[in-house]
Amino acid sequence: MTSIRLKIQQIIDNVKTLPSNDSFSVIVKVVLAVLLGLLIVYLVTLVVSENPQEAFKAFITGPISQPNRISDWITDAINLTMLGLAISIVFQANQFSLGAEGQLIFGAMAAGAVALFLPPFTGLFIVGLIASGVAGFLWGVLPGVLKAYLGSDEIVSTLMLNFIAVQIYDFLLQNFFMPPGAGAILSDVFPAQGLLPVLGGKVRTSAGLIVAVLAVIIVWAMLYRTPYGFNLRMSGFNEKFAQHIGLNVKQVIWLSMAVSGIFAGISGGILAMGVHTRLVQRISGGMAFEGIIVSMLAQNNPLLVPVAAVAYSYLRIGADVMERTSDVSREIVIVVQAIMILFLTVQALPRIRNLRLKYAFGRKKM
Amino acid sequence: MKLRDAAFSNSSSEDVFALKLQGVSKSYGNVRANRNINLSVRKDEIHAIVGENGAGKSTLMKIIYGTVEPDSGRLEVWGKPVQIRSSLDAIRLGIGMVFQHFTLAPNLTVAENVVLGAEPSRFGWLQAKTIEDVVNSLGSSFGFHVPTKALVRDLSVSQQQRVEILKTLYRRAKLLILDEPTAVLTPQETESLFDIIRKLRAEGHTIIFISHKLLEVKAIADRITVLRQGENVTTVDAENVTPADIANLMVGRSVLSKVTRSSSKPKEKVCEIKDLTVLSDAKNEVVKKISLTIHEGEILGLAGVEGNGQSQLIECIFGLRSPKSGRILLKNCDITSYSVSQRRRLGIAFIPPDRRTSGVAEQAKIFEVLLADRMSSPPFRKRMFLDQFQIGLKAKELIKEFGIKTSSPNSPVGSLSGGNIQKVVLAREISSNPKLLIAAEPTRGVDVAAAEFAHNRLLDALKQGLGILLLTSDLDELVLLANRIAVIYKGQIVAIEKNRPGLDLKQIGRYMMGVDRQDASLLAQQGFESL
Repeated sequence: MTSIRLKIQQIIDNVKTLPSNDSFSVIVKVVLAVLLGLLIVYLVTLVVSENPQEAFKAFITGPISQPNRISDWITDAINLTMLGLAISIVFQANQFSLGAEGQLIFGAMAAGAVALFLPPFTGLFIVGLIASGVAGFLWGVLPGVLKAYLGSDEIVSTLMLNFIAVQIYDFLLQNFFMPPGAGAILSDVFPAQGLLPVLGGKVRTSAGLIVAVLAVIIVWAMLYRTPYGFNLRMSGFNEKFAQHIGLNVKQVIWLSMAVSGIFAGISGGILAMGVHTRLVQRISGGMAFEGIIVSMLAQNNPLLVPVAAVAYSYLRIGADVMERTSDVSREIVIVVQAIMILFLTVQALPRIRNLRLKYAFGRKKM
Repeated sequence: MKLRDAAFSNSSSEDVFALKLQGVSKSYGNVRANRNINLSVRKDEIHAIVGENGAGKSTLMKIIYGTVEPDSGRLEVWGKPVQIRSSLDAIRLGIGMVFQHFTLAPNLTVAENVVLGAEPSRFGWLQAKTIEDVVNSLGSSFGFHVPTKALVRDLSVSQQQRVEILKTLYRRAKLLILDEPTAVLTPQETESLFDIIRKLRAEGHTIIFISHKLLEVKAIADRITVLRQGENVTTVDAENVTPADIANLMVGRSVLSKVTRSSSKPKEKVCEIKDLTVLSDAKNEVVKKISLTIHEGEILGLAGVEGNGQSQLIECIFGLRSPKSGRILLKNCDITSYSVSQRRRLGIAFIPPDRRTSGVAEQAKIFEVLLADRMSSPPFRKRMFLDQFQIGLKAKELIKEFGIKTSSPNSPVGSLSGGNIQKVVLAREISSNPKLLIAAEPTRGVDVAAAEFAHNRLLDALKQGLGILLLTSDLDELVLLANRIAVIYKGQIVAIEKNRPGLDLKQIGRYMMGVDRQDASLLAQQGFESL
């Protein structure tokens, strides 16, 4: 009897405190940030547009105005979720990584190699996804090991490795993937078996949706329910403490960056096999960096990453639609996006302000 | 300035108090740090303020020094009602403060530090010679000498403390507040600090002396004010009370002033350290060929002034730092090249000296920190997953067993008080059933009751036959707990004494200062002799 009661108590305790301390307040903050961002967007369109109402309407209702735009929104959210998950892993280990871009590119390249060069068979796309995860992992091992064992600065090394990844990708695309005599720098379209199955009818997306949902659960379980994730979080909280309880902190560091690469890599696989259906130049479009924003919004909590990704991609698609359907020019859209990013990240402001006050207070009063 | 001169001209009359607080209260949110405190400090007296951690001592001192404004209450300095809004006000009123953690610029000379912020200058130019003369004469007029030209970073802790005192005197402080001034000093240094304090009193200064150490309070103070839970319990004449009385007043119940040290005979060797040489981060040999043996059921105390290699020594035994040469044996197994986790598995546990930064992760939850060292092994790991049920069960058991005050094992560790954080660390390390427990400063910064609890826990653990290496800067604690005391000086063991009634603490102090050392053959015999 007692053990059953204890078990129930245990479950209640667990439900009470899911990973992040207060998921609800995080969501409230995100919503507030979005509303404030919208206000500024409106003010900007008032100034620059002949027909501000129209432009703003395009921005607000754009993503849900047509089935194909809803599809775009969902597809964007899937990729942002994968990238946000990738970043949340490194952030929870208290590392910093700008390397998701390069990992994504390698993931796309691996998926492309599998889809184009393996004989087509049913389920080829699954092999492609696995290959993209492995490629992302390997491209994460490199900066991880550099940081853990040689003490290199992970910000510099991950950023630089992105450029290397882009160059390798372009070289291979032009010399191996591009069919001879093609007029554009593109690979062939992947065979049907090498494409992610399509889900839905009018509003549709790829099987990437399932991959993303699984990934959220896997990352959450890994971080909060396995010894590996436990070690990673403890090391992220306090490296000295981690050393004292006998963790191999160096291993945690490089593994966190490598495991993060798995999810960024799969994101590249989804882009290649589910979105572009072939390898194209600049396949990421700088999207990998948006993963950092998504992860910050979700306070590195994997369960909140999809929420943040859906909200953020709505704004991305909205800005896109506004550019295409109104007289608001591309530059303004970029300004608008920057403002959105500011407002979405500004929710960290109260904390920063408190810190500053504390500092100023302490200084003055000493 | 005028106010101060007026105050001093008044101060000859007998019934004037240097400082008088009436009904002072201060709350931080829901926490009432000070409640209706009345305090009267007579002119020319040494007034000790004692209390457990969290009793409100530091808040009270901050109110007096103007860094915190009270919510209500009256302050009188030299008989005049005043409002102290900043430390500048306090200095103007002749109040000086020596903080526990010094506020000196390490790269400036002693003289420069003393005058910093109030430099004597001529047409805006500093005059090094004048400054040195001023500081020299100031020091000698109070009977203590400091090397005015030396850089502060080259000074010992006790010398730095003198510089801090000189700083306040230079600013013409007549009321000095010393916050835990003896925490970092050896017995000899404490004695000479007391000489200085008495000399200051003779010269017409008033001193407020904050301390945990009741024996010292008894020795130096004229009157003692006891704070408990933010209220002042009483003020007593030091002559009329015993340290035990003060302890009872502080805790509000009678405390065991003695713990019972086990007299069981130490048996097997648990850990042998042989000719261990360890380098510091700066690649200096800070531990030089140290050999020590720790037996089952024995507490080996390690005494030494901070910075003599003891922290590097224990880090090396625990595996956080690799030795340059030498060997470490645990139960006859050579563990010199083992990692921390391997050593933990073989039975070494470590209570680190800086618990908040190394012993816990403040953002992590209590149950996570309690079991952090064994999450990867059964029963807490089931295949590739953590067994939340087993973890919760064990965590609750430990919380109960060690009396950790918390609403839930899911609260972050940072929400606990210092004493409870220490209990979390104690619970984790003792419950790992080690063979060798390295306990560094196990009671630093915790109150009397928590210290007593820790002491009893360590002695309980001892009965299970482990060996304890105890590193502490509190000599009283060492004498209370240790079976043998080893003294480390400049990276070498200079003496090993059996702890027996009537042990000469002064002699231990001389060893710590490097004035004296035991004969090498005697040392070797003491070191390896099985008790």
